[in-house]
Amino acid sequence: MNQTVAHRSGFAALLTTIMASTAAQLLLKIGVSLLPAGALPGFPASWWILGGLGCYAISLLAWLLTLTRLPLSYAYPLLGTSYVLVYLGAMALPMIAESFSLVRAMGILLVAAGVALVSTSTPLPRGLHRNNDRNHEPSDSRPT
Amino acid sequence: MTIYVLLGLAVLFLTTGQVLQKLAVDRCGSNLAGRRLFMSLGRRPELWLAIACLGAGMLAWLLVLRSMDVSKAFPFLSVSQVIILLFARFSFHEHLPPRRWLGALLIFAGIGLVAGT
Repeated sequence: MNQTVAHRSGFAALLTTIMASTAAQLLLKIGVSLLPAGALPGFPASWWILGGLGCYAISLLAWLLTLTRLPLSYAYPLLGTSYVLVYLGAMALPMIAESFSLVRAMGILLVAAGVALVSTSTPLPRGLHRNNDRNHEPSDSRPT
Repeated sequence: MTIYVLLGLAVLFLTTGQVLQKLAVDRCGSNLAGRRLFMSLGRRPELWLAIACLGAGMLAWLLVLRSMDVSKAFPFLSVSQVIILLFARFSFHEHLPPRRWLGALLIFAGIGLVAGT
């Protein structure tokens, strides 16, 4: 696969990761808030939760794909946008309707900036990656 | 208080799950793609352990979401980045540039603000 195609599909995978992880959180929140009091959020408690879990799985897979296509130093900083999107979604969606808080908004911006900085590239610790020359980057988990 | 214990468990399990998931992929090599990559992944024990951790983390996470705003709880998941940073520093003695420590500091400052709301 040539470099341009790899990058284009990498960005598509990254966008999918961000959208799916945002959707997952919002769907899960709607799902648990609809459960009757005292009920455990067992599997599958509702279609909302099932949808949220599906989006979460999609985000994990899309992230794995992103890692094989894009340098993590591009990918990670953008991933922090999901914190902002979840915050906006939680306020905007009538089924969630969380209230605005300036302090919380500032905290979330700090978190997004922190995520971008904390993940800037250094080699993976020895032993955490093998025979993968595209991944000389921080290890990485994804804040989902 | 219980809610923060659950939140801590969710973060730990989800972080471990994601690290294992990444290990599984790295051990498959980067030259596979598409269906062959997924077939190869399915044979990695790390992947199944990752799924178990993600399942446990998700259950804890759902319990957290029941009683906490998602806009408040979600930023706490960024602590997983700091856990990985510390892991890299203290288990693998990796040298980390100041920029990354500044990132960790911003994350803590951010969740500190969020926790107070």
